[in-house]
Amino acid sequence: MTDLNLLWTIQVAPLLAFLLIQISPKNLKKIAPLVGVAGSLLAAAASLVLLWQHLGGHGMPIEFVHKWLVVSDRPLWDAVPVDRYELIVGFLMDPLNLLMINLVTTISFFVQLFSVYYMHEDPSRPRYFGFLSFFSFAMTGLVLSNNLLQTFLFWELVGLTSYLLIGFWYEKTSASKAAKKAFVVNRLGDLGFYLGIIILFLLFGTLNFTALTTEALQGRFSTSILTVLGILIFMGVMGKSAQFPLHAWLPDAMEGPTPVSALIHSATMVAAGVFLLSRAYGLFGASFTTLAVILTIGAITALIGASLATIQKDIKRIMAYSTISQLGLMVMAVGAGSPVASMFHLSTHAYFKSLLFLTAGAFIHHFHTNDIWEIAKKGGKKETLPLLALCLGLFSLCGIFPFSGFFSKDMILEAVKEKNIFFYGAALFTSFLTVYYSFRLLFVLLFSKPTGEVHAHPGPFFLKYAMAKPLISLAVISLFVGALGTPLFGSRILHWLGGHESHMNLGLIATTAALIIAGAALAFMQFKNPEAALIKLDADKGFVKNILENRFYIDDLYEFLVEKISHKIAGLFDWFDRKVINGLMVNQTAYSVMRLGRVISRLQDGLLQDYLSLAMIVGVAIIFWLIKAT
Amino acid sequence: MTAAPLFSQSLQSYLLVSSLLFAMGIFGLLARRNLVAILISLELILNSASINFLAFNKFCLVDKTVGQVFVVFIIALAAAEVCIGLSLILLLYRRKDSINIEQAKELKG
Amino acid sequence: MIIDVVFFGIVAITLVGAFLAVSLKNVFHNALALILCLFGVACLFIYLNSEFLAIMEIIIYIGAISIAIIFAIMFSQPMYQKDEKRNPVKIGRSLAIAVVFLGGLLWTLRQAPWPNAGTQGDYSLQAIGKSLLTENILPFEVVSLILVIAIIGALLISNTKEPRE
Repeated sequence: MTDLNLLWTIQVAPLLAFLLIQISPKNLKKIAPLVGVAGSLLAAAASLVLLWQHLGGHGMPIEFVHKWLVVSDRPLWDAVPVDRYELIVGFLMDPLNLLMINLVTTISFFVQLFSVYYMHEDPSRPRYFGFLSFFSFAMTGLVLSNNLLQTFLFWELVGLTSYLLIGFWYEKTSASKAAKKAFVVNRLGDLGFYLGIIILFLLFGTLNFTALTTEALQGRFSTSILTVLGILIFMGVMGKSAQFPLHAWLPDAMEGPTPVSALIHSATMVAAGVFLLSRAYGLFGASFTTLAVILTIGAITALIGASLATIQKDIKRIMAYSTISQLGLMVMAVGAGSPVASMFHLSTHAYFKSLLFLTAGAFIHHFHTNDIWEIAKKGGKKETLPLLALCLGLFSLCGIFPFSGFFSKDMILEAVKEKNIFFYGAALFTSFLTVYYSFRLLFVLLFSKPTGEVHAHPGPFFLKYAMAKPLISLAVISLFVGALGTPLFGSRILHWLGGHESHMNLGLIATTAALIIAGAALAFMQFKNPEAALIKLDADKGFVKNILENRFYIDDLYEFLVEKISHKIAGLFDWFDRKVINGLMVNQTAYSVMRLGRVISRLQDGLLQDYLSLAMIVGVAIIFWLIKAT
Repeated sequence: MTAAPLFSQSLQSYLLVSSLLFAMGIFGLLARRNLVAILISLELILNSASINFLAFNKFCLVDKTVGQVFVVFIIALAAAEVCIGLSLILLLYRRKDSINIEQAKELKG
Repeated sequence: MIIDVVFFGIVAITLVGAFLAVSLKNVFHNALALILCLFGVACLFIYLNSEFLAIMEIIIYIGAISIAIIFAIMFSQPMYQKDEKRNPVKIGRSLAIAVVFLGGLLWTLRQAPWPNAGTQGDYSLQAIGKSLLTENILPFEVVSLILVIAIIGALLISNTKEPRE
């Protein structure tokens, strides 16, 4: 199979699955899960083959380009030295891509499989699997595209699918509101993104990634323009990857089914922003100011996410804030100048976060509640496989050796340390908080005394298999992936991505180890008696707790902005539209014409002599004018 | 019938008469409410035209029959027009029971 | 000299008759005034060497048209009994228009250079008849057609019977 064929398979198989599910008649709809799983399996297989074929990393990047539109063959403005404007479509394949593709398709496959277990009682299954496949299609399109515009197109499609899946249970008002919020906040970011694309295209002439290298850009534009462009496109990243202040949608997005959260809101869609940062690093890295902005926002996001995760009772919310925090770390890595570290952490995070979410899904499905105290009371620790997977995922998240999170997080910390001691401190504090809330979750589950009997969940074997296999596979992978970054394996993955050896800085390792122990100890002291801790949590009305509980009042700020300001502005425009444009220009024109007509029609009163008089007056006038003319 | 200073032999006097008749006819046409009175005013106008024709015929034309033939036609047409006009008035009177022209305003816009 | 005096008298009769024809309230009086005016006009025709036309005027206009008008007057309800107020706006407007027309006509007729061809010529009835049947045969026939149509039209208009199925 040629590269191009494989690429098309990866792209199209999920789309075909979606279409098949959509067009199949009602009574055949129960094959939907099968079709969905088959589609994603095909895509995953194709990407693995592609990876295997190009393992050596030679001869890349490979591009398959189709010229779509030549906008202009001549320079359009004197000030801009561009003599050719063209838009292209196509596939791009390089190590970064291949990594992402494998990540996306394999996690997609596992999630689809898990969904068979999770959604097997839900009547709207076909719609779910259809949308899930459509998401895979959109995400792979985003990853495989070779120019910014195509990326943007799939970016929007991914956002759309996210909306559809968050609001999957649309009968729940909270779900549809959350979906709307996600889409709108995303759109805000996309505004900047699109603006950046337009300006870049107008000034540069092409949006091809291979052309957007730092050298080319720096040679062409001044730093200020590059900064503006970078920040604009970073706005899109902010929206998609839930960076401050556009992070508010991600916790609410947990209204969707848990496998959706696993796929979209932990591993792939939110990673798309970070992926774009690495993909277009040429543009971002061209200006120090842009990188500084990226670093700052990443740091703020990381701190916000981690701190808010410490007081959550809902297991999915914990994971959501954890995701925000980890994304912040990834963005910090890019801001610190190391997109390689960022991508590495993205990969490890994708696997262990989706593992964590699926574990949470298993718990939620079994115990029908999201609250961790409830789960613990109902005997959560008796579920061996999910609990084990949870432990694995959490240790990875905390960055405990030898799990994968350790390697990637250390790489990030190293990169940030070199930049700025202040941000380094922020990253360390984030790690500390991460450990704290992870162990908090673990201790609540482990140390609670279950009340009542534990009810087993009987079911056919394939359901158990559907639940178990993804968990096991993801656990193994997340163990494995991290190791790829170590010198044990020749730092293969890093070389491959274009990075350098990791140093295994002993001082760093010691610091992180100390943080882990400190965080675990703090969590242990607070939560060794979870019931008492819950009472204390509910009773605590302290200042810090208030801020955390209200999510730093950011949501309230949004509501204020929307309700008061945006609605007022909209009201102003509405007034203008109704009164001025509609009332004055349209209606008054009509009325004055009608009034004029009525006035003139009074001339036609039916009286013959009036007509005659008028005719004679006019006739005399005409004759007079004619005579005057001669 | 010889000297020009005589009024009856000058073109202008006849033209003056006919103009006055014409103006009075116009006035009656526009000011009277009775339909028959309007018709009468119309006859005045036609007659003023006839005087005009005959005046020019006497003083300005070489072939002296042209004007008179035309006036014959004018008289004939006036007769026809009065005929039709009166039957219309009759019809209107039958419908509206009045020959006040201000009553006949159903065609107003 | 006498001719001129008589001329003035005739003109006076004509103009007075015309004035009365448009201004009197009773429409029957208007008709009588019209007859007076038409008499004057006939006399003017004689001054203009068209005796035949003078006779025609009297026979046709006074003898037929005016009588028809009087017929119509007799048919209708006398309006003067209703005593409707005159509308000054309307009268003023009509007066203005009439004056404008008068002014225009007079100004034009006074200053236009009319050609002078002398008053000698053949005004006789034979000449008119010859002209009617040779040069102006077409208008002659057309006018007779018009008269026929007018008669038929008048009959149709004033028909009281329902149209036959």
